[in-house]
Parts: sequence; C-alpha cells; structure tokens
Amino acid sequence: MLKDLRKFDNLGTPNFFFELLTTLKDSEKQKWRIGDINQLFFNRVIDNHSVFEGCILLAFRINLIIEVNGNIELDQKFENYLNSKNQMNDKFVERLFLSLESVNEIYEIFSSENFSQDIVYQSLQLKSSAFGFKYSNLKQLLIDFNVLKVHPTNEINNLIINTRYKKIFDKVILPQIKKRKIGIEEFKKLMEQQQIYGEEAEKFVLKYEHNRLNGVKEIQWIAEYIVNAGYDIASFNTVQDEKPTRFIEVKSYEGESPYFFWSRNEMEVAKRKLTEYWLYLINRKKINQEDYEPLCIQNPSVEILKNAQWDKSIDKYKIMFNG
Amino acid sequence: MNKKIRIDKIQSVIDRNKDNKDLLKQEIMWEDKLESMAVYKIPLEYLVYNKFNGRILSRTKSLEKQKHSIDVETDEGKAKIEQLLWESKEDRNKKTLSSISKFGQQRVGIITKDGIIIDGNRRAMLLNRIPEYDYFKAIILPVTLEENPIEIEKLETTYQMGEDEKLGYNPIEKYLKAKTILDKLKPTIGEDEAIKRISDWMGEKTSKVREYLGVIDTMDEYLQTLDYDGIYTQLDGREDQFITLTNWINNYYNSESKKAGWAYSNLDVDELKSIAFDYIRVKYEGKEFRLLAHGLKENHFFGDKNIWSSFSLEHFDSTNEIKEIEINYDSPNLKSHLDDRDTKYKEKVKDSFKENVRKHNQKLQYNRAADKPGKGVQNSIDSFDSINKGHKNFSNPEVQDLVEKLGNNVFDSLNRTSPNRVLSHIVGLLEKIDISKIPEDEIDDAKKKVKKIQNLGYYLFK
Repeated sequence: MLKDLRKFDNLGTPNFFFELLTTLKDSEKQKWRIGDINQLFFNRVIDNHSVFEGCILLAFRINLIIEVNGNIELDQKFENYLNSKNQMNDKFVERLFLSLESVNEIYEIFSSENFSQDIVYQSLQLKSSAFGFKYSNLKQLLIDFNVLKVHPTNEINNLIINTRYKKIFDKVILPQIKKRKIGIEEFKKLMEQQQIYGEEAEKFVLKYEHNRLNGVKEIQWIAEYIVNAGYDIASFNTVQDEKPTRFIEVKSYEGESPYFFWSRNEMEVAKRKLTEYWLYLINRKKINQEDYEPLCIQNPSVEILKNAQWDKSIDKYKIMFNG
Repeated sequence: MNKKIRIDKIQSVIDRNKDNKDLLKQEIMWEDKLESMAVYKIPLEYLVYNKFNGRILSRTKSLEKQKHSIDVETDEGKAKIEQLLWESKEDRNKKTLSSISKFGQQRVGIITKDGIIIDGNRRAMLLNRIPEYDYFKAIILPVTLEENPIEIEKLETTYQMGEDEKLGYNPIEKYLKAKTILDKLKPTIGEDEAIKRISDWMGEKTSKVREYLGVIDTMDEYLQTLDYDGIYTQLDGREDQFITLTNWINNYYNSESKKAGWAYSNLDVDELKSIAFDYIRVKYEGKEFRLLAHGLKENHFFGDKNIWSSFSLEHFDSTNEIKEIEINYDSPNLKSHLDDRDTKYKEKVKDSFKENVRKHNQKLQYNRAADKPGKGVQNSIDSFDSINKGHKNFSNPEVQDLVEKLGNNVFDSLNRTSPNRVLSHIVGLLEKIDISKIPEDEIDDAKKKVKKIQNLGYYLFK
C-alpha cells in the first residue's frame, strides 16, 4: 500500500478528508463518480495543497470510500464518525493504522531502533529519519493528523508521539515490533542473555514501583518500545522527585543465587548514571508470591563490579580479524 | 500577522489611496482580459512569500521532503524561504541588490489581497535586506490564493516563464513547474487539454511541454531508484543526460526501433535505463554518455546484442557488490551530503566504468571496421606497429602469448581464405630466418623442427 502511495506529495489533511467524507454523507442520494470528486476539489487550495490525487487514493486504500458500479460511496461505519472534525480525526487515525498493520514497510519505519523515550517530558519519540524520503508523505500525514508532533527544539530531529494516539501504537504497532524483535537479531540477544522472561519481570517491577511510590507517580516503561536505552524502566526514588531519578534495569533469574548477564551498553549507562542506576534482580520462581521483594542494587557499576561477593566471568569475547 | 489581519491591512492601503489620482497603473492579463491595475506601496511586513514560487520549487520540495511542510507565516519558515531565494541565484541576487540599493525597486510585483507574493518574491527578499526600504511596490489581485489558485498559477507561470526571466532559473524548475500544473489540471480536464494550457502559459509548443513531462518522469524515477525521492537538488548539472535518456526510453520502449537492430524486450530497455542512471549519477556526459544508446545502431552499445549483453553484464558485476554509506536523512546540509555520497560512489566505480566503456567502444569500432576489411586490417597493423617492442614489458610471457595468439589468428584467417597464401607466407618466413642467430644449445631442437618441416612438405607435395 505504501509503495503505490510513494509518488504523491500530498496524502491529505483533516480538512480535506472531513470535506470529502461529509460531502459524500450529506448528499447520499446523489451518485458521486470519481470525476465529480475531482471536480469538487478542482481549483482549490486546502491547507496549502492543490493536488489531491494521492489523498483520494489513500481514502480508497483504507476503505473510507469504496467504488460500487462506478459510484463512490462512503464506508457506512464511518458515517457515524463525522459529527466533528476531532471525532473524524481519531477514527481516521485508527483506520489508517489498522490498514497499515499488515504492511511490511511500516515496520521499517516503526522499528524499535527508531524509537526513543524523553524521560523528562515522558514522551515516546520517533526519529524523523525513520521515514526516509520515500515515506515522507506519510510522515506529513501523521503530523497533520496530530499523531506526531515536530520536536520544538530545532536541532532534535525527532517526532513526538501524541499521547492521545499512544494506545493505537500499543495496540497495533507494538505487538508487531515485539514479534519482529523476537524474529530477528533481538531474539538471539534475548536468548543469549536469558532474558526471554524479561517482559514478565518488567511488568512485575512496574507494579512494584507503582506500589512503592503509593501509586502517585507516572512510571515509564522504556523497554516497551526501545531495546537499546541501557535500562528498562524510568522511575523515581521518592514521590517528591519531579523528574525520573531511578533508572532500572530488570534482570530475571531462576535458582537460589541471583545472577545476570550484563551487556556492554547497559554497563556503560550504569557507569554514566552511577547512583541513579539500579539493577532489580527478579527470581522468576517467586514472582507470584505476594510479599516477594526483589533484590535492588543501586549503582551496580560500583556495588557489583568492585565487590568481591559477586563472581564475574566473561561469557564471550568479541574477536575480530584485523589483518 | 495572520491572514485576516493581512487582508484588513492591505485593504486599508487600498482605501487610503482611493482618491489618489497619481497612482501608477499597470496592465496585466487577469481572467483572460487585459486589466489596468493600480500599483500600491505595501509595507513589507504585510507580505508572505509564496513557497511554491517557480524559482525555488525544487528547493522547497526537497526541503519539505527532508523535514516537513514549511509554514511561511512563521519567522522560521520566512527565514528558510529567504535563504532559498538568496541561494537560488546568488550572483544575480547580489547584482539586483546593488541595483535596488541605488535606484529602488524598478519592477512592480504582484500580490494577492491577503499578501501572498505571486510575482516578485526575489525582489521582496532583497528589499527585506535593505534597511531603508520598508515597502514593496505591487499590484493587488482581487482574490486570495485559495479563491482562484489556477488563475494565479497561470499568471505566475506566464510571468516567470517569460523569455527574460527563464534565464535566471535553475534548469530543473521548468520541468517541475510543468508537472505541478499537470497534476492540478489533469484529473478534471484530462491530460491533452492540460498540456495545451501549460503550453499556453509557458509559451512553449505542446511537444516541448510533453518533452518536459517525460523528462521529469525520468528524473523522478532516477531519484526513487536512489531512495532520493523528491530531492530535486540532486538533479543539478544532470539535465542534458536526462533529456537524452528520456529520448532513448521513448524510442525503445514497446517498439523494435531501427536504432537497435536486435529483438530486445522492454526488460532490456529497463536495464538500459538502470545503467544510464548509474552513469548519470557519476556525471558521465556528452559523447561518452551517448555511447550507451544514442544515434545509429552502429554507434552505440545498445545497438548490438552481443556488445550490449557483455557491457551490461560487466556493468552489473562491477556495481552489485558496492557498499554505500548510509543516507543521513537529517543532514543539516543535505545537498552536500548527498553530493558527497555520489562522489564516493563514483570513486568506487569510475575505473570499472571507464574500462567497460573503453572495451566496448573498441568492440563497436571493430564492428564498424568489419564492414571495411582493408581499413580494419590496416588499423590492426598500425596498432601493432605502434607498440614499443623494445620495452621490457613486451617480452613478458603474457604479452608474448598474446603476440602468438595474434599470429595464429592471422594464420587461421589466411588458411581459411587462401591456403596457397599460407605456403607463400611460410616460404617467406623460412627465407628470412638468420641461422647464425640460433644459439648453440638450440641447434639440435632447430634441426628437429627443420626435419618436421621437410616431412610436412613431403606429405603436402604428395
């Protein structure tokens, strides 16, 4: 779907689609042909655009409009969503993402590597470059529909995902990202690090932190979208803290003695964040016990690396030919 | 200043001057009539640049592809357009700036009633750079851009594609302009009628407009192939090659053109296009570029099945494994980043391209010479004579193998056409042998060979 839309500069704006769809709704007795729609938008400028071919094609692709015997009809379900531009906006976004769900190219854009989390503003962000040049029309569409916001700092080339639509990301995009994470390289990494149970442990820690902070702080699950932040959860030491002060890497294990595998990236982040960095070691066998307390280690780059009570061994070397 | 305020402010300029009889008037074609319209002095702060101005269309589109749509009503958007206008023709801008500083604004501009500059974006940008000027002399159209965009497009195109102005443009702009107008008109009035209108507005023949549209299609495909979609700045300096390539495509697609004397398919033409894109990317031009497929079939690689197969095979062999640097989509200077990427690609392929062209050009020459044997053979003799046989490399075994191969080829050829000539040649060779030059240790071997010649001669005689 994205491939045949690639050549169009303009995929539409809320004003365009609202006019198109309400016109079809309000004149349902009139038969609309494609030529009539072209005529409707001829010699018009809508939100700085005056070519609408790509927008009409998109409306077909996501089944907002359908062609029956040469007549263009509005999707019946969508008729109920045209009470206001905002309502249409929300439903359009939902429909768009559901239609894109099975499109492979979309996961080149919405891939784990392209996401990041702004922990201060608690926003999930996407690299602007994720769209390349070929899907920049989709980027503009998502900006115009307020799904993405341009970062206010000019030098930061990230787009902020509107929290209003985060649920759609969670529902449609996230499962696919996870599937792909486990499908490819990430799977190997996860297996090697024995973190296949990581998500269960992370959910446990989210709940644990929520309770520890009396349910009044917004704890951010960083690892939900991002694999390379160096920690999984951004939390707070106390309820008084205004911005995250506790960056938690969650490790799960089985057996009596806690153990974990530490990646170079995580270790480097731990060294940088020092006392703000915490390791939570979760015993998978005890995770369902009501009063289970995980082992929480603050500043592990000092407390573990320089502590003889922890045995350290190198699991593998990176060996590279330099001839 | 928002649109509504701009409309009010500009209207107040008109109202203030309603009894002013000294207002300069100028005639323009508006809605197919020659209208006499007053020229007003509009404060520069009431004006908004037109980002789709034909002078900078390729630059605006490239920038919007990289970032997001430019809002010309913000300070940031305004600054961006001013920068693009300044960079569009810097030398010319410097001259005009100096002229405006001395004499003021000489050519009147055109704006819409909400302050969008239709003609004179560059002049307004320059005026904004000169502190003593705070107004723009312009005709005010009775509409906003939204109220009649097609008529405004027509006006803009007629003004900006006029003969004098055309020179001041980047060559790419006219192709883009033609496509932009076609896209606007085609869905409603159809392609043929749209082309007629474009030809009217641009003052070009319809065939020329069709050529522009074909060329921009090829350009778009080139950009897509490189994942440079819509980055029109990457077409700079390559216009001529695209015109040539578009001609080839038109000639060869869906027809067995006489210009290629073999039963090629559209897939072969696609291959030609793909190879031509690589040559355009590394900026091959002129005669060397035309060797790919231009003119009579004996003058280009695509004209001969064997040459083309061998040429394309070697081309893809040399390009398939090339590892390129990733595109930095956020590069603050995208044009120089992509230029640099293209240059690095060129560094990797230039030697193989050069050798491939040289080798197949020679085959072409041989083919041509095949029709004129005497000339061909003479060329070969000249070529062999011109080799410095005293050079130490000449005695290399590999070179000597080639010399032997050349001798065998000559012999085989003689043998096929006239065995008697072979005998004459052998007699001549035998007579020329200087026996005194045979080293002592080779005498026995030489005697054996003479014996063998005797035997062969005996059998031949029988």
